[in-house]
Amino acid sequence: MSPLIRYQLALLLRSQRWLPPVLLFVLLIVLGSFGGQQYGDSLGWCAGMLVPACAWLTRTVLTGEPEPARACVAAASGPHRAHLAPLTAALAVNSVLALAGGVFEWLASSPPVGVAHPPLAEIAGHGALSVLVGLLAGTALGALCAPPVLRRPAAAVLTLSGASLALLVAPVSPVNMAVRDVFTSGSRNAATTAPLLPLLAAAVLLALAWTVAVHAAGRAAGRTAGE
Amino acid sequence: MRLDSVSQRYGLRGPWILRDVSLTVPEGSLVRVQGGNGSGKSTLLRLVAAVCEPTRGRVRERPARRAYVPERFPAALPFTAHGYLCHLGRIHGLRGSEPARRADAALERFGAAAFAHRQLRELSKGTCQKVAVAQALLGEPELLVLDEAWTGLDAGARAALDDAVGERLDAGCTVVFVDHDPARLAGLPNLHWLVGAGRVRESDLARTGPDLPCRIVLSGRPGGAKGLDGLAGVLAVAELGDDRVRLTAAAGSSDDLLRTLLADPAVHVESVR
Repeated sequence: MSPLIRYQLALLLRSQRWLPPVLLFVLLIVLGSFGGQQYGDSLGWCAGMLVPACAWLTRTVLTGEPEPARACVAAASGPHRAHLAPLTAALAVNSVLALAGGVFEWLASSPPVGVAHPPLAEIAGHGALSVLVGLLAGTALGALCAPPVLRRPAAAVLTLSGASLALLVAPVSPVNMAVRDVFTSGSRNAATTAPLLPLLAAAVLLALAWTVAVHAAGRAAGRTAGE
Repeated sequence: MRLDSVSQRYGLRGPWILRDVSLTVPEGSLVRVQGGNGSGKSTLLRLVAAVCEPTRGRVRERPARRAYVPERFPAALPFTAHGYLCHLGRIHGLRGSEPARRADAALERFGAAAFAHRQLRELSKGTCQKVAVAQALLGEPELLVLDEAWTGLDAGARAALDDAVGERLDAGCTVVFVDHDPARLAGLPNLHWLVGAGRVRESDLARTGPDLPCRIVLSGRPGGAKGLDGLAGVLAVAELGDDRVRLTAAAGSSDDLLRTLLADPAVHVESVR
């Protein structure tokens, strides 16, 4: 593991600032699992809830390092790599969250009742892809809702909440499309579709968000330190 | 290392902190940066250290191993002093047990060994500053940028930092620093950058050196003290009798002043102090 990513992970885990976003995710997942859901629905729900949780957790990682400490690291490794490291660390932590959420949903759910459903492996595979879409989209959003892209905490938190909601409910959003692709309870034969287009869109979104954030980090590092 | 037409501002509508600054830094030089509060010294230092890239222009041929000491180092990091230095050592390119070994040595050197396993947030401001300084020296940098790194250190640590800077210079490292004490590393810097109004003026040391006055006593000058107070760098003139004159001059201008005075073969310089 690169020393930079190791440092960022240690910074996050030791600070205990990861706790609130993780608790939010646990709460949302547990609330959504009441009543015993079908596999596809549960994984879709997990994908959706990953968006605010991953965005918040990414923001938490990006705001965890005081500016002067970042300056020391940026001098040693360059401002771009110094910002890519917390982004990668956030993606790693978010992946653990997504994996745990997906496994929990699978264990707490059951197959569709009373219909001829496709093989469970297919539902699981498509569900996993939708979870991946939620993970990538949430991580991308978090990269934009934190310094150096959005510096004011109020603006960042409002944007994060609003954009999370938009990603969930807007029909054109990759997350919304992916969730609809894997929901089984609505359709007659419980068929799911592989959310490949949403996955591509979410990957592009993440690449764009990281590019913007890393570029901004190169331009603006240290601006709060006066003079 | 070269700064090519570097301009810097923060934000799209922010004022220009630096405008069109072009400077050359020969390898192994010691650069003192001077300027008033808010003149852009810290911004210039951050650009040199690669903490950020300039808005316009480029910094070329920066050494690969770089280290930076910020003017205020935060205590809000969830590490022990030793733990933080180990992380930074690895980031500075050290491997295996080397980061831990050098972290111990650096803390010892700056008199902070007793605080090695205390949390940074429990440390005093001065001890935190020692950790910041130690961090910069771990990786034996080829470029060392110190933004008032001495501020807050106790006398022992200040002397240790002076020594460390000397060692890095001996090893061919380029050092760029800001410090409010005009006597800091006096006599060593071979470049001065004067920052003001968005510009950086490079001045060679013969003109602006440390502002400690020096006294020149001379005799035999036809006309005595007449006209001496008009010479560049002269701060005060006093007639001592017996044809002797004492000049008080800025040390940085003393070489030029002596050349001017000694151009007249009748003049005898008795002492320079």
